[in-house]
Amino acid sequence: MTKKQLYITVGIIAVVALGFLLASYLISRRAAESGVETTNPFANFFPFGKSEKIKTTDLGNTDNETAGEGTENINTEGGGGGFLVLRTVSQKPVAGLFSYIRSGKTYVEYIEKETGNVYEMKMEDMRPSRLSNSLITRVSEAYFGNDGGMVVLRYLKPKSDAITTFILDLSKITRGTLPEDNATTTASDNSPLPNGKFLASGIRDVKVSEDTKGLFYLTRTGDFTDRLSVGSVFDFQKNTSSDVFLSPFSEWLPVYFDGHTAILQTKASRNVPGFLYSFNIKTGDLQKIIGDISGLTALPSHDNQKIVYSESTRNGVTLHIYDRKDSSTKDFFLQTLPEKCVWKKDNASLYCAVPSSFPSGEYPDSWYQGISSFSDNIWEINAITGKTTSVFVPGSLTMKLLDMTNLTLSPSEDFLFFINKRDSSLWAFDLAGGWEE
Amino acid sequence: MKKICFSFVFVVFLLLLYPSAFIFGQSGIESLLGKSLQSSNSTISLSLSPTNPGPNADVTAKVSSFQANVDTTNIIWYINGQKKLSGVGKKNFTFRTGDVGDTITLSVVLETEAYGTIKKELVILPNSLEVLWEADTYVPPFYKGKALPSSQSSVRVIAMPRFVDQNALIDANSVVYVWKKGYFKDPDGSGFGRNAFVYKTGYTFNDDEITVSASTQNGSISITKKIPIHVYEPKILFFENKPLESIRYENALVNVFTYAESELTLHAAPFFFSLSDLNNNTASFVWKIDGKTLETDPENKAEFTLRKPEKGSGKYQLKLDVTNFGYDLQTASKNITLVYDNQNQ
Repeated sequence: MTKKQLYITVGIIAVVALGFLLASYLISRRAAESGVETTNPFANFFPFGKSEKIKTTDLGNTDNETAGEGTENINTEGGGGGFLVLRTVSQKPVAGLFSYIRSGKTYVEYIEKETGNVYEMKMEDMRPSRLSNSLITRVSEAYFGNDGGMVVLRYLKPKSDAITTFILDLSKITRGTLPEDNATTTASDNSPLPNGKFLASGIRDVKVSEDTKGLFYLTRTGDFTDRLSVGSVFDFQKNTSSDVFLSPFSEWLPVYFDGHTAILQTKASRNVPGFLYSFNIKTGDLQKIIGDISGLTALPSHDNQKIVYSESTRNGVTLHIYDRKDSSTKDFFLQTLPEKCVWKKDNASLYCAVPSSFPSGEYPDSWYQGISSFSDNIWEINAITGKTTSVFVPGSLTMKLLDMTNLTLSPSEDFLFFINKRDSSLWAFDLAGGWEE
Repeated sequence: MKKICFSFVFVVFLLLLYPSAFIFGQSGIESLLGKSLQSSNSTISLSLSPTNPGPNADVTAKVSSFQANVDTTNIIWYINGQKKLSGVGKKNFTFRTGDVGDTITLSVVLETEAYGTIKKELVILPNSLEVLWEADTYVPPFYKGKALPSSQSSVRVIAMPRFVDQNALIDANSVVYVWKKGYFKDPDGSGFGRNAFVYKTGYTFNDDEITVSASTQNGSISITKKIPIHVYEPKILFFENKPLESIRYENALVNVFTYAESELTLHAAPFFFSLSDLNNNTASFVWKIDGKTLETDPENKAEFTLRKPEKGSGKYQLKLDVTNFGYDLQTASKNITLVYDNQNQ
C-alpha cells in the first residue's frame, strides 16, 4: 500500500466514522425534540445515542403525530407465562367482556356472539373454559353486572329492528374449574341452565354502574310528536327496575353511571353541536357540563371528575380532557375518540387506542356507520401533567389491523383487553410484560 | 462637536425608548391626584360575549368608550368587588360564570387623564337556554350516532331553559315559548309550556333556521336562541347478515366485497329515510343484479340472499334503489360489486 492509498483509506474511515457520529447525534436530538419514542440504531455504539424506551411528549406539542414507526413496546420483559405481550383471547366474535381476579390471578370472562355462551380464561395459562350452555344466539352486545354475577344480553328479533334485552343470572355457574387437558372445555351438559329475565322491550342504550350493581337504561314512549325518553335503573341484586328520568329529548347516550348520577351525552354527528349533561337521580336535576361542541363524544373518569372528550374537525377529531373541579380543559395532539379509551383506577391517567391515521370521512359518523375502520396504537395519557406516552404499536407484533373498542383494564391493571371492531375478536395486551415473538 | 453629536443621539434614543416620560409624564400624575372618582355609566359601554351567558360558561367582557382611549388607559376589572385584572389597554377580560342563580357583579374602572376615574357595573345572573333537536329518520339498531334529518322529514326541537327566579328553579313547563321557522312565527306551536316544536324540513343541503324565545311569565328573564338545522341526503349502506352472528353493523360493505361462504345475505340500512320501521312502511326497495330486477321477500325487503355458484369465479353488480313514497326527495341508490372465487379456496 502506497502512502497515498493509506491516506485515502484512513480518510474514508474517518469520514464514515464522522457520518455515524453525526447521524447518531441527529437521531437522538430529533427524538428528544419530537418527544416521540424512536429507536436509535446507533444507540449502542455511541454514548449520547442511548435513550430510554419510553419517551414522553409534553402537552402542547402540536405535531399531528401518532405512535409511528420505530416505537417499541413498553416492558418487554418480566412475567407473563411465556405468552406474547399481545394475545388473541378469542378469534370468534365477542359481544362483551369482564375481567376479575381470583386467587391473585387475572381472569377474563366473555360472551361469544354466535352462541351466547359464557367463556372464562385465566390469563396465566390462556385456556378458555366454557361456563354456560347456550340459551341465546346472535348476541350483539353484552354487559356484565353485579361483579360478573349477571350479564345483560342484547340481540335483535329475527327480521326486525326490535332490540331484546335479557338479563342472564350467572351466579350459580361454576367458575375456576380449569380442565386437565389442553383442549377447550365445555360446561357439563347436565349442569342447570342459568336463569334470567327480560327487561323492557325496545331499550335503546344501557350503562352499567361503576360498582356494577346497577344498570341505567333508556326507553322511549309516545309517537314522535309527543315522544318522551324514560330513564330507568335496574338493581342487579334486588332484581327490580324503577323509572328515574323523563325527558322530551330522546337521543341520549348514557356514558357514565354511578348509582346516583348518570352522565348523558347527546348522540353525536360531525356537524351538530353536542352536549353533555349530569343527571342527579335523587334531585331530578339535569345540568349541563359542557356543550356546543361539534360531534361531541365523551367518557368520564371513574370518579366523574374528569371527562375525556373529542370534537369533530374537518380532518378528523381533536382530543381534550375537561376537569370538572376547576372547569379547565387540556388539549392533546393525539387524535382519537373517547370510545377508544379507558380510565385507569387512579382517575389521573387513561389508555387510548389512537388511529395511526384518519381515513377521509366525517367523524365520528363514518366510524359509527362502519364506513371507516382504523388501525390503532395504544397511548397512555396523563390527565394531570398532560404527558402522552406511546405504550404499544400492534404492527410490530401482528399483521392484523386492530380497530380497538370496548377497552377494559383488568382489576390489577396488568392486562388491557379490547375488541377488534373489524371482526369482533377479543385481544389482550400484557401491560406487566410478556415475551415478544 | 463629537460630544454634542453624542448627546443628541443619546436624547433621540431616550425619546424613542420612553416617549411618555417626556410628553405624558406630568398629566399622568395629575390624573391620579387631582381628579375625583366618577361613576359615569353613560360614557363607557360594557359588552359580553356571549350576550346572555349561561351557568359555568366562559364569558369575555369588553369595555369601550367614546370619550377615553381604552388602548392607552389603565383599566381595572373586578368580580364581586375583588380585583381580577388591571393594566393599560386591558379592554378585554375573560371570566367564568357560576351555577344557575349565582349572581356575579362585574365592574370595570377606567383611570383616564381627562375625565378621571370612570366606573361601569353589570350584574350577571346566569340563566340558560339550550336547544336540542332530533329527527324522525331511520338509523339501525345499536347505532351510537345521531339520526339526521333529510328532505321533508319531521324534526322536533326542544327548548331546555334553566331559569332561576328568587332562588328557585323555574319549571320548563311554566315558561312561555315563541317559536319561529325562518322569519315566520308559529302561533300554534308557541305558547305557555310549549317547549317542543315539530316541523317538516325543507330541501336537501339547505339549513332550516329555528328561533325560540323563552320568557318567564312576568318577563323578568328572557332568552332567545337561533339554531340552524341542516338537511342531509338519505343514503344506503350494506352490511353482511351472518347466519350465526347477526348483522355486522360494525363494518359496512363498500364498493367491492369478496364472499367465501356458499351464500351471502346482504342487509341494507336506509340511513336518514323517514321510516320508523324497516319492513312496515311505504318505501320501495328494488334490488337489481347485473341490471335484472330481483324478487325479494316483502316481509324482509331490506335483505337479499345471494347464492354462490358451485364452480368458477366471477362477480355480480348488485344495485338497490330505495324510494320513500310521499317524500319526493327521499330516494337513494347504492351499488356494490360482489366477487366470488371457488378456485382459490
